[in-house]
Amino acid sequence: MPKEGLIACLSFFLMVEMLKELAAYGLSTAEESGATYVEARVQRTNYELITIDNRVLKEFSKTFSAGLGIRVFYDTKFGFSSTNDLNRESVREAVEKAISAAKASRRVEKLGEREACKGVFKSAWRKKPEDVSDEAKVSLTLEANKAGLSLEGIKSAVTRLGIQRDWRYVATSDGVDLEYESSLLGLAHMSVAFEAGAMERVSDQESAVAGWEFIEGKCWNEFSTSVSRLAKEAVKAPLPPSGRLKAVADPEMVGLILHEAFGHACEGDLVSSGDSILSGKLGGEIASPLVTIVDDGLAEGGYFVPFDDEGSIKRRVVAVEEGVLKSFMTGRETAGILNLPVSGNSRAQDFTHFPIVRQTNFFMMPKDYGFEEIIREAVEGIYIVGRGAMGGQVDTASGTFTFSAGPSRMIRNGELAELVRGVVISGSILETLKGVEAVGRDLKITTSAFGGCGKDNQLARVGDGGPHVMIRELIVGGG
Amino acid sequence: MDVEKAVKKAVEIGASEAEAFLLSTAETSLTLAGEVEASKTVRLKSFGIRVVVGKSTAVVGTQDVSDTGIESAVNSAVSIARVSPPDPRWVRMNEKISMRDVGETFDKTTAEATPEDLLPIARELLDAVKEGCREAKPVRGFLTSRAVEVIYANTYGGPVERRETLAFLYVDARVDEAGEVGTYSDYSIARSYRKLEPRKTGVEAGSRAREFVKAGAIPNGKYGVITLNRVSDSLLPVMLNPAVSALNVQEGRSPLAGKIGLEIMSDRVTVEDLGASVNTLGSKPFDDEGYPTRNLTVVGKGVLETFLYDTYTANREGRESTGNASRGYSTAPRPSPHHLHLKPGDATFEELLEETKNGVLVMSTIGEWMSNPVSGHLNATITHAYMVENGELVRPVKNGVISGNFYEMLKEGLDMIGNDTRHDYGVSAPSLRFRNVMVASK
Repeated sequence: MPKEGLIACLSFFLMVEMLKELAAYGLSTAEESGATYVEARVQRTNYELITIDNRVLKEFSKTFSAGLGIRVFYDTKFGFSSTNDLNRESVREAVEKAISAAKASRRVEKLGEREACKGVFKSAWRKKPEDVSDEAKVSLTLEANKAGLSLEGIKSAVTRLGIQRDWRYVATSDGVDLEYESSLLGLAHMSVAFEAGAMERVSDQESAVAGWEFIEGKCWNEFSTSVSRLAKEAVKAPLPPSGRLKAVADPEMVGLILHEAFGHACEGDLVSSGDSILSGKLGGEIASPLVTIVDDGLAEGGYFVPFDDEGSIKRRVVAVEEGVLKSFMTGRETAGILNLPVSGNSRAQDFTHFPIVRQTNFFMMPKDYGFEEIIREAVEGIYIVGRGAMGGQVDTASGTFTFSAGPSRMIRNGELAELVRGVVISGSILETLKGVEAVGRDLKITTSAFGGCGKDNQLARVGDGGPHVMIRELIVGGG
Repeated sequence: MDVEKAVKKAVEIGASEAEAFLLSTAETSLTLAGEVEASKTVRLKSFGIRVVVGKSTAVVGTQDVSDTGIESAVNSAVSIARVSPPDPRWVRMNEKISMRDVGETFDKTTAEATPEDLLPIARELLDAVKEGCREAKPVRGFLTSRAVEVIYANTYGGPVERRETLAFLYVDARVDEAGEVGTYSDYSIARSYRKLEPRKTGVEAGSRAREFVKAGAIPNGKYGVITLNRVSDSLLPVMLNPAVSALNVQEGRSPLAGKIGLEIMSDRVTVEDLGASVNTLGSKPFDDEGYPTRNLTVVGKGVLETFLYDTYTANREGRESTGNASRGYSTAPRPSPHHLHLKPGDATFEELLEETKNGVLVMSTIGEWMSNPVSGHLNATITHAYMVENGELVRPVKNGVISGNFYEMLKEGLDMIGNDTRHDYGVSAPSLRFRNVMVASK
């Protein structure tokens, strides 16, 4: 380990001990002030971002954040406050503010029970990204960018390398003592192709909960070149026809659709407040019998969530089993309201936010179809592809969702046909899941070091995915 | 360690130039469901240092703002810059540090608001939903008051300091009737939480939610489309913010590159960036590299007049910055509008409606941020709209995708410009009416 790495390690260790000590101080201060239950969370996160813009290093940034969030249960009401002034006086002030916040909140009748666990979790990595030199990181990103620009007709390209290390510790007055450290990293590339006055961009990223070995194990020049090839093809492609089409979605699109169209509606807080179209539908047939959907905090390929920010161990939630709505994702408060087990889905973006119910890795379980078989059975329609997709959004109460796919292909006579671009899909949650007509036997779950899911002004890293899936009808917006 | 010392320290250890950025935020917020679900108060300090060694730059941000935390950030930034490949286009940091008078942007009561101070407003909002419709439930909402302070210094000057407050409320209402669900949401935004409009917002959300219980489908086709002012506010920045950034123009990612002096929109359209206006949310005395802000005409009577520049992009073209640098504490500045303002026309909202024979009035969309500002292709999914026939709202509808080329819509496609500007943070625009817009639906 280089000397700088050793010093970084040592200072990290000291920081961790200091933060834990402040958490303990927060707990005891809040209890002395009359709180009947207290959660103290401390966090230390490092994020590195290298941005290469058209062969030039445009930005190399490192962000260090550390702080404490404290949530008190005072007079049966929750209140939250946080500080990054890491001394006892500020922690005491945060406790006072949390109690004052509690006075403005509603009464909570019942909190879901959960076992107060102790433990230390670590995501797997072999080679620490911190031990890799800054030069090597820049050089790898620069080379990938140059490779992306080497194709004729590619006018602009941006390549980013993102590296995150997150350490979180939760201690509660009822005995929880949990910590985890995780490493997430990835590379993102965007190419803009130009032809005959028209421009089109395609972006893609690949990330993993892993160490530097993930970066070393892949040829990123080939990755960025393939993004450029797709952009070149897309710029010449027409828009899809507008209207209702049969759709085959690839695993990335299935992940996006599920996350937006269904996952949010399964979040216990939205269910209990009536802001979900699934409120009151537990036990009902809400999807095709081919559909089984789970949320798993430790799914391969996904993000790493061994426990949530209330200190509950993350349990696998089977939301839908063979078409029947079985359960919702919960935190302690929503579990109490909905009379469901605590699933450990109460997550906070960081120490400045209180936890709210979030998905972790939300995906559809595979069945028996092969890819070619699905396309053949679709006969006519559209194969929607996640590569280059922008994301999605849902209005959970009305059940309307929308998402953008990457360059996709029309399906004609049971075969993949011409490429189309600018594909935007919209639909309604329940119709879409009821319209699942075939589920593939493949399974792919992905996550991202560059973005996440936004809810109530909080961003959370998530994973999603599934097999290839055929859907009877989606609304496609095109030209 | 203050920002001046941090800059000095960076230069001492080898930086040729340095800038320091200290961001302090204080926020109090209530999360609402049927009642006040949760509340919080957060104080956060974030420090950023950007250094240049020769022509190599690096940025380090830290939320450990102790002397050691800042010192270690400065050290780290210089050591990254030392090993980073140079940017041949680097000239220098901003040398013109000063402030513009933009009036009062700070309200002390809002900055110091406690959750209990906000309670009466939250209650008024929740009650107003019921007032809008007795059966309506407020299912989701929040009320936030926030104060943000920025202190900036670089090798050439400073420190300069600016602060602003902002209050925001939002509510989502739902009505259940015979197995059908209707929803609607609305929001209000102001410098001071006492200037928010909880009653108006709640009544609007509640009464509209009931109307949308019966929302049907929009037949697939082309329509005269009216975007309600708040929809115009959401579409404009998605398409224009990236397109008018000089960085995206220089790097080949803007459809407006090479179009200065050309008519890119209808001659009735004027779009300004209000960086230095009084009573404008987003206006500020100086930008994120200490450069004084100004008001700019970006599109004047349809003609593209300028792009928006920070110091880096301005230096590349040997011109002055337009004072549009924008950054987070741990990122390098990039050009971005402060407040895009599409100038209102003469038509009242009623006149926009009256002149519509067969059209769609779009009240609310989602997913517009997934549009493609590089190609200029706009997509937005309608969650709430009305079919309009001969000037009358005939029925509520939902679920359809508006799609088309944004610039064509604002050129040949633009029919009428309303006079009902809605002021949001960073943007203000009136309701607009377009001809022949494709709406994909059932």
